Amino acid sequence: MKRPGLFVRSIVLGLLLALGPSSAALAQACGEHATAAERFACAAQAAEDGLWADALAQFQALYAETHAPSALFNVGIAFQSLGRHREARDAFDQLMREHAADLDDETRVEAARQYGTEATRVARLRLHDVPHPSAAGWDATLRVRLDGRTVSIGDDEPLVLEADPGAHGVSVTQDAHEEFVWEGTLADGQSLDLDVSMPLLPTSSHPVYEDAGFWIAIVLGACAIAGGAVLGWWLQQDAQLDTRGGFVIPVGG
Amino acid sequence: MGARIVLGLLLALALTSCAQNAIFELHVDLPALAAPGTTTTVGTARFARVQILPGTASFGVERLQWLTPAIPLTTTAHAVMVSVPADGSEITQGLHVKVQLCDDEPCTHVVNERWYAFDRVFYQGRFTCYEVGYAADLADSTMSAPMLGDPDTSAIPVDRCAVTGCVSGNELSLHNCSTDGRHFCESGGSTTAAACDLIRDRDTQL
Repeated sequence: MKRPGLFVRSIVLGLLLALGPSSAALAQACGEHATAAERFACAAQAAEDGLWADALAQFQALYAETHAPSALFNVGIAFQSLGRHREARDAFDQLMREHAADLDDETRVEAARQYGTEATRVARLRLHDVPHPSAAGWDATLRVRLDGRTVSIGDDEPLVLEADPGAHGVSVTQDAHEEFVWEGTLADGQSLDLDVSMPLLPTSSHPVYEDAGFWIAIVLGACAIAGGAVLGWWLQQDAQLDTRGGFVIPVGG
Repeated sequence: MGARIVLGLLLALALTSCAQNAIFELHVDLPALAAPGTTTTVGTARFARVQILPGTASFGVERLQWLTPAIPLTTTAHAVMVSVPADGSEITQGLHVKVQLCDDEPCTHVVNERWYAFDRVFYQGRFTCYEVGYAADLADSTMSAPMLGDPDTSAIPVDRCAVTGCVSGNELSLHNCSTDGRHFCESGGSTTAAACDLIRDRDTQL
């Protein structure tokens, strides 16, 4: 697979890089107070070393500081390299929407291509029959979670959850209903339909004393208490001194 | 919480497995039946009877449940044992014992009798014992006469230290208290009935 190249053609950043610190000093210069040039150098070095998580953090900080489209492009590349295709797609989308006028034709084409590539790799879970907030009888206790994180529920049917390829889990919970759980692995660009079924949990419509289990528990409890009492009595009796023959006359009469 | 409940139950079971009662064994050496045509201090006595009373009861009280049946005297001296179990508040009270010789089986005609007032005989979870040498008393001219007067004031006092118990070994002691005055059964003496076994063994040899 072709390794994504960084967008380093920005004249300003290029000059800053040229005038920036040596690589030996990068480790000292990548902190919170790093200059834009130092930060770009740090990010480029981290990317070169395959440390994409570090590179991503530096590119994100650089974009927040300079709002340079090259930084945002590289954020997309870093996301892509980390397999976070949904965020990579969004980064390229943002680049084309917010910086269209700043991009030259070649970069714009490359951004669009990257966007298309990433968009096709995002997997989708399509949850059918999830109650909608605007539907009658909406229950606010309904929760949809993807990989443990609660997701917002709209009125769309089906409810579409985007995810990067890999292993995921979905749960849908609602008071008085059985939990719906799905766990599985999604491939690149896979779209999977799930019918969400959450049957009502059985509710007790009769008094507890009409339940046979209640009386079984009562009887078992009574037996346990009686057994304990008998055992205690037996132990107590067993421990007492016994008379050893002759005439027996209890002093109490 | 569950562990506390289990510990509580185990503690309760442990407590219930401790003996709460006490047993006092009274051994009475009975004289031999007088041989026909002879005159002895036993006289016409043919039966013996032992009455056990709580220390709080007067010697004059007679209840069937406190009486042994009439015990026939035999041609040789022999001993009988009366086991007296007690528990609760009975343990700390004294004991009154009346031994009678009589010439009829229901023991309506008493020939001779002796009264004993025990200071204390019971100790929780312990065997104690005492031997009444009635036969020897009758053979002693100074003690053979029938006791006179009010038994409640004239009974022979038996000190608690004279009651055997909580002693191990093969020798009987006439004094069963430690130097601080406490009975061996109160001061951590032997929990066995070894001392009383010695008296039992001697009974069988009579």
